[in-house]
Amino acid sequence: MAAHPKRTIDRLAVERLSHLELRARLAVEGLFSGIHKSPYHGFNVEFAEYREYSPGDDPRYLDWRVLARSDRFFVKQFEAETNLNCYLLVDSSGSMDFGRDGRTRLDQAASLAAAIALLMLRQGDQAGLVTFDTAVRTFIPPRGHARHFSAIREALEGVKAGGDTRIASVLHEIAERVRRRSLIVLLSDLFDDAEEVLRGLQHFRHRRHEVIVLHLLDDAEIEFPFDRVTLFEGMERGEEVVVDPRVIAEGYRAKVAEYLASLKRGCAEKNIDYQRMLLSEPFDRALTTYLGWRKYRMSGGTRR
Amino acid sequence: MSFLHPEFLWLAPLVALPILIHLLNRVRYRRMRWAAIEFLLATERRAVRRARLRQILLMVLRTVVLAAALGALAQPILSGGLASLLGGTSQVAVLLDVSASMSAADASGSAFDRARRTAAEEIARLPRGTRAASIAFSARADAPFRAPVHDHGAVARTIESADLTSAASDVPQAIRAAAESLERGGGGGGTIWLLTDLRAAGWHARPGRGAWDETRAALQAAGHPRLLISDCAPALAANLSVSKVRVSPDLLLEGDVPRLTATVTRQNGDRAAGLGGAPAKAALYFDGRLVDTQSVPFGEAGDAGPEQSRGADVVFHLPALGGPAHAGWIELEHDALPADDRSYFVLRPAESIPVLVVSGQVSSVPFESSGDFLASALQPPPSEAAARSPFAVKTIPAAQLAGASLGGLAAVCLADVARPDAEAVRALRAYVEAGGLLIIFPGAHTDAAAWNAAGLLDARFEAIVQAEGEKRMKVNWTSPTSPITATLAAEGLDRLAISRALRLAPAPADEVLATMDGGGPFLVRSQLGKGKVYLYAVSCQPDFSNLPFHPALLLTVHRMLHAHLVETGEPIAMEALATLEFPVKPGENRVVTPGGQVVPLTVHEGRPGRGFFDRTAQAGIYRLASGDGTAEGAQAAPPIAAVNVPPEESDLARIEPTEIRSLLQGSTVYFLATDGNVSQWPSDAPASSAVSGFPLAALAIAFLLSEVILAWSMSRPAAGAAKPSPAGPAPVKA
Repeated sequence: MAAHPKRTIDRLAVERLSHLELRARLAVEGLFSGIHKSPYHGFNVEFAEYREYSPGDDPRYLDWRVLARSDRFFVKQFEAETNLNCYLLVDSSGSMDFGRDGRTRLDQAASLAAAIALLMLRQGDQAGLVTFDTAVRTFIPPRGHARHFSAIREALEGVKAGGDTRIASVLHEIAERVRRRSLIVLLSDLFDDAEEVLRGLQHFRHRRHEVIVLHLLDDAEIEFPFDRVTLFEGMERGEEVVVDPRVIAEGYRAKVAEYLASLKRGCAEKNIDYQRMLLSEPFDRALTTYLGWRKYRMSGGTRR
Repeated sequence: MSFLHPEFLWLAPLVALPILIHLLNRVRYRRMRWAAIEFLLATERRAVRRARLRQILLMVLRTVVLAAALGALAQPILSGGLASLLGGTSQVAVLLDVSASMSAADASGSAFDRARRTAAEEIARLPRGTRAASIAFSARADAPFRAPVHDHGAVARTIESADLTSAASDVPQAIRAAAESLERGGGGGGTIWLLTDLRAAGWHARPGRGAWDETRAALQAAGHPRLLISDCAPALAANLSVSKVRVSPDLLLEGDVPRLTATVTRQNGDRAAGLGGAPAKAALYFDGRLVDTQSVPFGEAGDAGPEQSRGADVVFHLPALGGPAHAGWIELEHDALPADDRSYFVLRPAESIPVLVVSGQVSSVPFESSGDFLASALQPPPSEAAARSPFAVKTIPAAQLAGASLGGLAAVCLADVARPDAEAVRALRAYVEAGGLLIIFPGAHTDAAAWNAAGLLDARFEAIVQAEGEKRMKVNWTSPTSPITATLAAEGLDRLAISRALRLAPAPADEVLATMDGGGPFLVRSQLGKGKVYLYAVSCQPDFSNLPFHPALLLTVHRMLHAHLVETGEPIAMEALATLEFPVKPGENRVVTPGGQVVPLTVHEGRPGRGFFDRTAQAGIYRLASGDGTAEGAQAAPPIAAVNVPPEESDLARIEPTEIRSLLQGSTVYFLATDGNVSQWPSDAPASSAVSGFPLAALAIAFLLSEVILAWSMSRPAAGAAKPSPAGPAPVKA
């Protein structure tokens, strides 16, 4: 593969998205002050500050010594609203090099990952990055400080697409490495065996992680709008096939639709958030749309 | 495999064009890197296979169509090519050329052997349903089968038993005979298979286009059979032949020592670079013995091109002739065409020339009878003659003319016969019409009215006119080219003392050989049947002129006799298939051919004493046998005729295919060359002929061009999407 020029992530666009929220639907674990509920109770939780008792507060956290000294009711403020660990899993296999108008799927994934990472950090959560193809290539553990974004950005700008795809096995590997409950955001084209991919995702769910799948596809990969005999060349293994699109378009579309439906269905069954994003749509708009729907859904709305 | 049009095979590489297009299309396909390749591979493996299979099938179909188009143009002949051409026809007429030129040979045999063998083999391989007939032809077409028959064995046997002749070929007549045979067989087409050596002379056998008009009409009547022409001739480098033999003197008498002049011709063949300077020798055989051998003085070899010829004369001196007839031949060293390497001749010296002088006025006084001066001039007494006269003169009175036997006479001279009676006129007319010579001298007693009424001559006698005094009148010999009167004026023999003459009124067809002062005819010649009549205006006595004493009398009479005898005499040789006519005596009723066969001759009732024989296909000496014609006496039998190969059979010039096409306009002609290739000459064949391969080829080429254009247009990148939906991402270059 020819060397790509180094990717430049649009910081302005990313910045514009940093005000958004990405909240975990499910209970997560965290140490730092974030916006997510912590499942933890007991001594190991670090005391943060006092605040005046309000009706409804849990009386178990009344500070009795403060009451004895001041005859005033104060509760201990712990890390009750804790940080979220977010792992951004960015597929960097060869198929991610597909693109349009000079912009590849990996560019899209990197921008999305950078945006999500920044907003996570801005909202007090932690973000980490994993890039992979047939194996994990980059593993940046989640951190919460502002400087961490630079590391993530640099890694995203430097990642190159190449190699084969083996999503399922990588997902299993990552699932074993992530101990704490986390938010797993997978950015990939998922061009692998659907059942295997779902099993990989299921592994995360088994470990009580929340999983978001951002399925990055190009319109042409779904619509197959070609009408001339074309030689299609595989981007990972270099297979070639000369195809008359007029002959196979219908069947191709049916296969793709079936695949997408199975992924969506499988993700729904596993309580995995599945969102298809087309490369024809600017990443910021796509992410804004997705996060808006997610917030809406979490507030009790239903997606039509 | 043979092809009718092998030149189209040069286009065979075009058959690879669909394959190239197929491969080029693979190179020129729009290429696109595709992430979801697995969907393509898995989605429609069958469709991909079908598409690939369809492309391969299209490529194969295009290749097959193109190959078929080329095949249609080249028109291959499957193995047994002749059989496929012949077997697909309902009837076949095989024309076997047996003319002398077919004796030309090379290391593999003669053209005739090749033709005969090929014809017999192919006839034997004909399908059972195909009828066949054979015709051996030279100047005559010998057709043993009236129409084609199913018995292929019988046809093959006639072919195998055919023999070469010494005759020339007459191709238009042969083809016409074949067409007529097919027409009798039901017409509707069929095939005429001509095995020949393509010598141009045979195709031009009859000058003018009449012969070929008849042939084309016969072909049309037979339903336009297709013609297959097999060239059986070997390539000849050069050919020597004796083209002409002349004897001098041309009127032979016993005791003469004649001179024989043979013209030898050397002709370039197809591949000769020039007439070589190799010496040639000619040998003279006379009465069975080698007499003389001489070199042929061709001279220096020039740079002659193909089919040019050069001739040279060789002169032989014969011994003194005696006997009634002598036979001999001039022989050259045998070459590839041996038929024309011998030229036969027969010489018949006459003992004397019998002349009958009929005197109208008879007297016992010497030179008083009207024919005495003439008789004395023709055959002077031995005591007075410096040399023996060739003439044997008999004189009779006019009254005996009616009962006289005129047969065998060289000439009959009438001297002052007053009134010929009807019997005499009948006898004279029969004699002249049969080839006799009649010389008439009028006289003082000539009854012009009676002569005019006799009906013997077309010329009319008028009055006898008197000259003025003893004036010498000049005779104008008005036909300077006539052998009768040539040189007379130059020799000063044009002044005669004419006191009176018979005014003559010649007929329009008569030729006036001399006139007198005042314009009246002096000597008139008339043609009567095969003979001639010469009519003088003066008598052969001194009462009209001094002609009896003038050299012009003997000169003119001699020349008349000489010219007439040469003209009507038997030639020293004839061409093959000529009908021989010769005098026969009682008991002489058989002819011995050159091959030793003894064959009966024919004697017509109206021509007793004359024999006829037309089975003269072989060159050589024909002899007359008597009795039972045993073999022992055959060679000793007197020769009656020499038969030779016609000179046109020595001409190596070959006819061009384009000329054959022109002559056979309207027919489909196939040409089988000696290398086995069969080619067809396109002709203006009628619609019933085979479908031409050109329409199929044009269709195939149009189909192929459309495919090329379609493939090219499909391989070009799309210049913007015509569909409203996105056309898809631009291919990303690796």
